[in-house]
Amino acid sequence: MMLEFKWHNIKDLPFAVFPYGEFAFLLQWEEKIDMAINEEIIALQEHLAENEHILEMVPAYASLLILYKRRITNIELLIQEIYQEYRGMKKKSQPNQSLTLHRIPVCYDLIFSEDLDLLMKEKQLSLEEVIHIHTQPIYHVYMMGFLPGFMYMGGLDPRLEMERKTTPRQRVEKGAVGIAGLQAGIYPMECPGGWNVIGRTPLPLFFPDKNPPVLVEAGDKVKFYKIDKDEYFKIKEKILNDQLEYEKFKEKWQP
Amino acid sequence: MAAIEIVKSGIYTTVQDEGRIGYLKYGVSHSGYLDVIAAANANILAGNPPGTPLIECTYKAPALKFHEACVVGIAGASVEVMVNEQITSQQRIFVEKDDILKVVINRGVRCYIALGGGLKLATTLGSASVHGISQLGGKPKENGCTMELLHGETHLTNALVHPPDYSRIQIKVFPGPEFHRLTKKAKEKLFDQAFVVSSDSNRMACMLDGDPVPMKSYKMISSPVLPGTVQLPSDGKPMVLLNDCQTMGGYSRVLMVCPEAYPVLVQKRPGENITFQLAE
Repeated sequence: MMLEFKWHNIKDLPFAVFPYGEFAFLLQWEEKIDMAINEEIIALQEHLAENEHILEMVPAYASLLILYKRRITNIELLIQEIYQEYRGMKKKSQPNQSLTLHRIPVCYDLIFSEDLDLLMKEKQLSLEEVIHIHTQPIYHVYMMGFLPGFMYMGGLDPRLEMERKTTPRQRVEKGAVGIAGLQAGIYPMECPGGWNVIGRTPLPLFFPDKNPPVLVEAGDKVKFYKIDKDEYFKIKEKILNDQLEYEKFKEKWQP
Repeated sequence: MAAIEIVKSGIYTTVQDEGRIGYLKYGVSHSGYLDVIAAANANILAGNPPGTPLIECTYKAPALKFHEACVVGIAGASVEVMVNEQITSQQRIFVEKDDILKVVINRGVRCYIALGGGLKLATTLGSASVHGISQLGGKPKENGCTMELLHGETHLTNALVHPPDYSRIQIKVFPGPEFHRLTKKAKEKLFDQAFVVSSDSNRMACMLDGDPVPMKSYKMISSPVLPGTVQLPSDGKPMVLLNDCQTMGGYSRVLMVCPEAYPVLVQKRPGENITFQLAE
């Protein structure tokens, strides 16, 4: 039976379904960056975590990619299954869900913030104001991608909005905290990049030897807080000596 | 003395296996060998179970010196094997100590060298595959690099997988999630021309040159992508994402290469033609 490669819209479901090749399918919500939509996607992903047919899943802003362990031959049957799973999830959803908030230390010292001067001038803000505006919000982690451990975060105050550099840097340091447009992000590893760097975190975000290999996951919350150079190097040293208590940087959080 | 020593660098030589599966949502690409058929055959020739990590060579294979006897399996689109400068038509070689193995990639881009019993390798997130940008799995192999043999069990059979027709120009595809955004004119441009593989191509993407395919520019928010996806950026030049591609993309996903066509596509050299053909 041939798969029909078209968008399947289903009554009573907030997403449409498309077979992405023969081994995966895409669930697409309304295409916009919206926290409520993303939270539902993360919840559905969690609900499907034990499904025996699923190889892995990738949540995105407004879509969920589901990879199957075997070739998909009947999309109608699959949609029925997803429909049941979605309804099941909605029935048992707890409104007072506890989330994880990560407190990420950032050093805004000049040696770590190559573009801070530029941002201050462009936005007509003092250093204290920039730091306050950057550390004020609770950022929502929509998804990960681009590099292992790279988070797409929402919630940046528009006063700090700054377009990507027209000429990317050859090298952005690991831990660089930056801004690209209205996106806030952290470089999990050294690589070339066009983000505006305003600080650096001593915390590693990607652990290739651990499972899960990341500190922060899609659906989590992030709050930045300022540290000085001394604290930055203290944390770095603890990491080198395998003495850093990572648990201290996260906590349960409720909206 | 290590079992295997690279005595002359190839162009881009990495260890690959079935890939790093299960971590796409953390931004970790699948990686893994590009031509699954040739890789399967190299392992069968070496007597290895499917999925055994092996060496993937690009354009020019490295010269390998052996300090231990070993059975070696070699496969690609079309390869020429030399042991101590003697050409052999064999692709299963019983290498002796001090032998030097050279492989010429006559046609196609990639060839695979499998070592009987496997290689002693560290794995990262369950895989030995090397991912260029993140350096997961390590670095490409160069002159001076050495490898150890694992001495696992080998079962030599001749039950090879039938290779695809690598000379085929038509690449079968399925419509992708944004296929419906193509105008009639765009579909004509996409399916009625022979694209040329660009020398910018690598393990992240097969870049194509040709008559630009018109794509209405619309702001697409980053969405998940899989290897095999044909993306169409605003410059109208399609690119086919390969195993090392990023896990998120911001361009329209207009087509998806069919699994049977993928090994043929990854063996297309810069300058060679391909056309897209919708699967019936």
